[in-house]
Amino acid sequence: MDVQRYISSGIIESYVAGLATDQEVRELMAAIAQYPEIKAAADAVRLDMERYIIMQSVPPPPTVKDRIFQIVNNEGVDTVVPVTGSTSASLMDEAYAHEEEPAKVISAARKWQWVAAAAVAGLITSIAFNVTYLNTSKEWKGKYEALLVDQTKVLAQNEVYQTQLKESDNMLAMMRSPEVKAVRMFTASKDRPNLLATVFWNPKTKDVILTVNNLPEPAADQQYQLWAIVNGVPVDAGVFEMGDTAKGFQKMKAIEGAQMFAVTLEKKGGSPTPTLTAMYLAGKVSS
Amino acid sequence: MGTANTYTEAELVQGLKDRDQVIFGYLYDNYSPALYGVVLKVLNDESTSSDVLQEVFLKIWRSIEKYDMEKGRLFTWMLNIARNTAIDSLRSKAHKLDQKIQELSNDVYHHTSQLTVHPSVDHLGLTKVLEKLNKEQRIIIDLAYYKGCTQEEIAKVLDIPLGTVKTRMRNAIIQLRNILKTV
Repeated sequence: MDVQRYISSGIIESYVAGLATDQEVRELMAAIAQYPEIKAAADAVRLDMERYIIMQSVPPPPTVKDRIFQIVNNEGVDTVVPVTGSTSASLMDEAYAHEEEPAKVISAARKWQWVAAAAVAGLITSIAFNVTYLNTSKEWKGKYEALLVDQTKVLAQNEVYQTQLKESDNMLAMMRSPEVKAVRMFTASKDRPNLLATVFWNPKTKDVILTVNNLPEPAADQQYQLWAIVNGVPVDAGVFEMGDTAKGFQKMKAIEGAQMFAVTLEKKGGSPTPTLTAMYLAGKVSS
Repeated sequence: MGTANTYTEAELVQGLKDRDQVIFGYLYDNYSPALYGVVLKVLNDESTSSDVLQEVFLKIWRSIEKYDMEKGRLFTWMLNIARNTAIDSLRSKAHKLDQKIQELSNDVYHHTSQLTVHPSVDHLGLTKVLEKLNKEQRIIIDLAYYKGCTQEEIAKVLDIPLGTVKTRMRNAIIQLRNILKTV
């Protein structure tokens, strides 16, 4: 057999992916037993496929494990103690057999009727209980799973809040530092009055934090960009989204030796040099 | 879930044969996500999938005597049980071919939602693989493995000659292997 040709026919891949016909599977099994190269190729394909499968792992609902172990445990018990139904039936038979001894034929027949009636009544009660139990257990299972989902959501939210809180804490700590300078940036052009944003800048650590007090919402393809003027040259301090900054404080790029800060409106993503005609805000660093 | 002990396959098999529930629990904790992933992808329905997963683990527990280490790894054997049980369940529901394809494409969205709920799931690099396999390669692998389609069905879906299905499958898996190397 031409081993290479067989390997490149795709039969191995088709087998591992579950696509081979019975005839092809038989052929391949024989080939694997005979040629180590074919076996190696099959093992390699199987490992690829298994990695792909493992990647698609999903944690099952937590209730499944309990259910399986309950069944497994009951199976263990089954061999020792027979099912309740059959126990009571056989006990009843025995008990009855003893009483029957005195040969009271008529009363025996009546007793049978009673036993049958009792058994039927018992069965009906048992079915009713089972149905109620099944319904409540389904209901509880549903509620339990809903609670689990809620809990996951709450935990995730909690994490988000904690991160936000930590960020705010860090910024607050930074702003409380005595070295920090607050630079108020005011309207740079008369036709855009009353605009205001504030930069908190630590010349030592070079940290820059921005908060917007009043700026109009830019168009969708535009973004505001913060600049530091260092010895007369504008240095990019990063673009900012209105949503985040307007709500709180935003950390910008580190800046060294600034004399001024300014904000211009640029195309989305920012520009390498500021568009001076679109300067919205500017403010001097107090010495 | 940090289980301190780890077991070799031989120890796992022996433990199952000895009816050791600690080993069975370990097996469940370590392999149920992979097996549930298979079942869920086959059936595309969470409620029946947990029932099928339960059946899968009961089969593993009850028929471990039938497992033959010579024929392959324990994991491969368990995957086969999961796939076969799920596909049997799928067939009993008499899914039509176009339904299966529909499910596979819906599944993409399903998966992204799963990923956002469990971001840890993707550390294995699934997104990268799914991005780089082209649509035909993904469909040929998924229809065969997860939906149990025949070569004829796949030839029909992809509109290719029946004789080329096997080589297409080979190309798809070679591509998968190349992507896996980079993940």
